[in-house]
Amino acid sequence: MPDEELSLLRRIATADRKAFETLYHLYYRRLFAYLFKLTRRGELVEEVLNDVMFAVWTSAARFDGRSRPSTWIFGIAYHKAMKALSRQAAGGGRANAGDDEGREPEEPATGEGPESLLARREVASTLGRALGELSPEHRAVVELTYYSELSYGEIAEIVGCPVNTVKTRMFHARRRLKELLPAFGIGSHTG
Amino acid sequence: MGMETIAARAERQHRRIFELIPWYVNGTLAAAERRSVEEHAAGCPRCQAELADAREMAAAIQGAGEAAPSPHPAQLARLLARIDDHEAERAAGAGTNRLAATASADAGNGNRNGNGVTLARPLRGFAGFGALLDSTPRRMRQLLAAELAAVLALASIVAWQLRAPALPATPPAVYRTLSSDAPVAAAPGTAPIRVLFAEGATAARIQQILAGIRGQITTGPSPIGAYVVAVPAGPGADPVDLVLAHLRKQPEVSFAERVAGAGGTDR
Repeated sequence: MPDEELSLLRRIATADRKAFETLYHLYYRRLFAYLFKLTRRGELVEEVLNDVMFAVWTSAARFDGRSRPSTWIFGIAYHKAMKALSRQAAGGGRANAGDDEGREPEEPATGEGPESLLARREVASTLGRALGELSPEHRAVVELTYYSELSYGEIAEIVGCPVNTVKTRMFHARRRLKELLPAFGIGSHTG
Repeated sequence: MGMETIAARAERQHRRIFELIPWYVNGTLAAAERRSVEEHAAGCPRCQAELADAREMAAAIQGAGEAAPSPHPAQLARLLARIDDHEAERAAGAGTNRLAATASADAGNGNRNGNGVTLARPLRGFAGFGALLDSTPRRMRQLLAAELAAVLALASIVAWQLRAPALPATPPAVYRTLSSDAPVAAAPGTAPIRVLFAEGATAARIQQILAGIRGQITTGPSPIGAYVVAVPAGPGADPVDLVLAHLRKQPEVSFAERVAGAGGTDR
């Protein structure tokens, strides 16, 4: 119901807390899954999700209605997620940096263990590991296409790049995934 | 020469179509593009294979991620508290004091979330908070608002706990020593976590924190003040990681972690 979401955003722009809570509940699970998929760091998700919703509160008045509310919110989430990842990388990458040798991809080396059911199930899978090997930018395009089922135009809006860049990223991501997933079945059709 | 140009053009066309395949598969292409993919793929084995691959990938990714948790009330409470801070600062910047209004509005929020008789009473006490804030210097006010936010966060957790099913009446777990990482058996429907409280934490506050997570001490405190606490786990319970994240944000909690190798029904 984009219309409902639009009116919620309009009300949030007037500091309507009830509308904000409604939108929060409407988006929580979607954002949680999305942020996990973008970052693959369970321990980041909660914090980034709150950052995203906080930004929705503070900038709802600037939403111009040219894109769908979900595109706008997912765009905020994309940028917050990328920022969190680069912050983490710059900060010595809490625990992952520098221990490529003997690293267990199934277990994010944060000392906390995988964060959620989602994390646990997916990180453990072959596909999850392969996706984890992609750069965040490439992974985002793959997830936004296949998980969120968005058009390349919407993805371009969300990640803030030209449409051709989206297609190119996807092209390279698919090639990389085929290298990583020979046993998965993916890539078995093409030579 | 002419042949090459035709081949190059065909290859460019192929690449153009090939790049569209993911969005053909996810059903978001415009009609004209959709048709051009179908027409080209009909005579292009590479694109046919890619279509099969892309469908497989789409199905795998779709199937991989259906289970995100529901929002933890503490998380929303924390976000609302942050919004309060933000609004209060803005108001202060604009020369008006809206903090008191915000604070009592929040108490209202807590009530609404609460949904429960038990909660309504304690929260009523917050009505006076606004007046108190009004007559307090700004710096102090922020501290008080933070305190209020923390209490509200806790209150909403408690409220949420009231709705959750009660812990199974099974006797608590068998345990080994606190310091060892030896497996700690957990009662059905619970997961053991290890919690270390800060030195200054009062017994009342510890109890309050444990009530907030429906935790039951199975052993402790150790010489350094660590407890093993059984928290609800499994279907209907909150993900243990969110409980841990919540605990870690309490100033009285020095650390909170899973008990390694625990064989509980943790999800």
